[in-house]
Amino acid sequence: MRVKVTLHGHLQELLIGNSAANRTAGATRDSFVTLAEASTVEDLLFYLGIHKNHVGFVALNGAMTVGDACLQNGDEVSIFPVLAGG
Amino acid sequence: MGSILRVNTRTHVITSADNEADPLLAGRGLTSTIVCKEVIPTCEALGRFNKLVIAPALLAGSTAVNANRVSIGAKSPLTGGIKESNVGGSLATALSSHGMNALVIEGVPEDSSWWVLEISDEGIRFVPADDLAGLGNYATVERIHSRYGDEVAVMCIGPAGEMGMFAATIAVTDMERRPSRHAGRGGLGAVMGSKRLKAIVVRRGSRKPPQPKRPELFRNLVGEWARKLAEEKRSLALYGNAQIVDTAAAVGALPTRNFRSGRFEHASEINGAAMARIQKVRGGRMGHRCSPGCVIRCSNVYHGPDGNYLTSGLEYESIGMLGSNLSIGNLDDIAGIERKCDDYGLDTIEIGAAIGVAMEAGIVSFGDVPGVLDLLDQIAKGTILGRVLGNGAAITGKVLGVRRVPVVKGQSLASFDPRAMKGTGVTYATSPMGADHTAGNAMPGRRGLDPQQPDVLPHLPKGQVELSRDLQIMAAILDCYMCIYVGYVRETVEKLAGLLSAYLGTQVTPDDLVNLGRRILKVERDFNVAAGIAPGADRLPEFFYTEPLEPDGYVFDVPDNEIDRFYDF
Repeated sequence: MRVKVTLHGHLQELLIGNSAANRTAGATRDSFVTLAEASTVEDLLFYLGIHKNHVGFVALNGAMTVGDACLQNGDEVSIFPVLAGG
Repeated sequence: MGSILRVNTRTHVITSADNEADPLLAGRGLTSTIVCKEVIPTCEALGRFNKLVIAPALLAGSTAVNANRVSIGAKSPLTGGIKESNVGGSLATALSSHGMNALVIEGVPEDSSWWVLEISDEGIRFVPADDLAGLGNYATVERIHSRYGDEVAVMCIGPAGEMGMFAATIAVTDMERRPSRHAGRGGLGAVMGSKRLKAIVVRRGSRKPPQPKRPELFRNLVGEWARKLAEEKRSLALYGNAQIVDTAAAVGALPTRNFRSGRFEHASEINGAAMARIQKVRGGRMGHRCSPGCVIRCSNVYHGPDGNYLTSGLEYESIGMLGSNLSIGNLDDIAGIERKCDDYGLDTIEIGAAIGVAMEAGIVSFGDVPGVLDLLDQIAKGTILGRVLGNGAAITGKVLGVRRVPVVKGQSLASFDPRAMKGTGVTYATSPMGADHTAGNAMPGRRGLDPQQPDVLPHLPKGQVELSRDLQIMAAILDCYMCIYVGYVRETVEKLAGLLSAYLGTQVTPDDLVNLGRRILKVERDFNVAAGIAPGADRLPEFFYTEPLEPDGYVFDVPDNEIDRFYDF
């Protein structure tokens, strides 16, 4: 399956030179990533090489989701860094 | 031990006494304690019995990171309840250099002259300031700096504060001497104006900064925390808190057209990435420090299309309330509106909500930038319409006959729609400060005091009261010591306890701080109840419960009986 991934803040910098996605596909801020069927949000983070400590939250199709949520073909995933304040 | 300085604006008598309060009380803890003890809850907020209390954070002036905050407290003319609003800039360091734990401004003068209060090693004195009356904050500080030199820290009010408007702020100069930092919420500028103080000018004192009792441990803890914050919050230095546009938009919580929608079609044109891109070309900057010792650097300096300075500290809440909430999708337009608010001394959040309500009434159209600028000028001139708007969204709604008015306890919501971020909705409903996101903002991904607790999804009602309570406790703690940007997390409470132990030389545990946070919330709540704000006021406006938020269809559905148990601790 293929999902659209948007990385926010400095997460895209973490990705560069640090992940399977970058090495194989060339990461950009918005990337399409191909994953095995029944992959979860955590599987996606692992694939991208982003440690969960750097992640504030993940939005799936316009709402916050949890790590073990299953992804489906065509999903849009936004990954946000840890912020504070506000 | 520092001092508590009292200044009577009627008699001009100035007294000083040792601060005998609990040594952990500083910032909000101290302002709220003094207001609760000394201000008659039912008093007229702009009358002689109210007091304006100014208290630096405990570690201000030390080498601690992000510690140079100052809390300003009083009874709020906007909410009728207790208020604390804290701000960065240069003031906290300057006040602490005089060993001052709190400055209490009392009474109101009998005549209508304006004054500057001058604080230096030579003493404290009132200086006539009728020549500053009517000036905006930028002209005021320019004149003050030409008179006193560049080193002074200034807090001042603009025309809104002079006219006693309930949306009036107190401006504080940043490290570049600009009046761009504001104790924005609750109309504290009107309280300062009621005391006929146009400005307080503080020249750095010669008193040595506070020294930790265990200096080596303190230094190590500060260094370790500074490195961690600088790494973890890199996004804030790169894109400022304007990137919260993306966060709010991602979960459908970005207020748009007076809280009709949670998604704005121009969100990507007003976010942090857009600001960074624009400012890179124009010579402005991201990663700006608003106060000494800040390692997070979430502030910015915004240059306009002509390449010259326009404003600084253009924050997410201003972008949301003056931008998407008014259907304005251009950062230059928003920055121009925000600059006027800073100059006139107006809370960008309250004014954004008030103008959104005026747009709903058809006074100007959504997206009408010249119309908004004209309304702001009317506020500064004090026209009837300007006075209506300058007194905030609740009064604007009443006068203009609008029922969709986003306020709690008379104060406008900030730039997070509570239907899509329900924990923040609980904070709006229950905080003693009225609808104030800084009292405990349940941004997506935040957890409470127990880091192991499961995720709380912002669009679902489950767990929101507990999350809001924990965040409000942590906010009350942080408001005594540090900028909330260090993070509302359990780890912060633990690090802070270690730092305070090294500083005070006595054991301070995380539980001590949690109990302190609870105590602060309780005394503030008690003040409000005594002021006549009944617990039944802990509700959002009706339309948030009944009108589905576009396009996701959320309503606010945290049960009332859960909200009514908020203070059961």
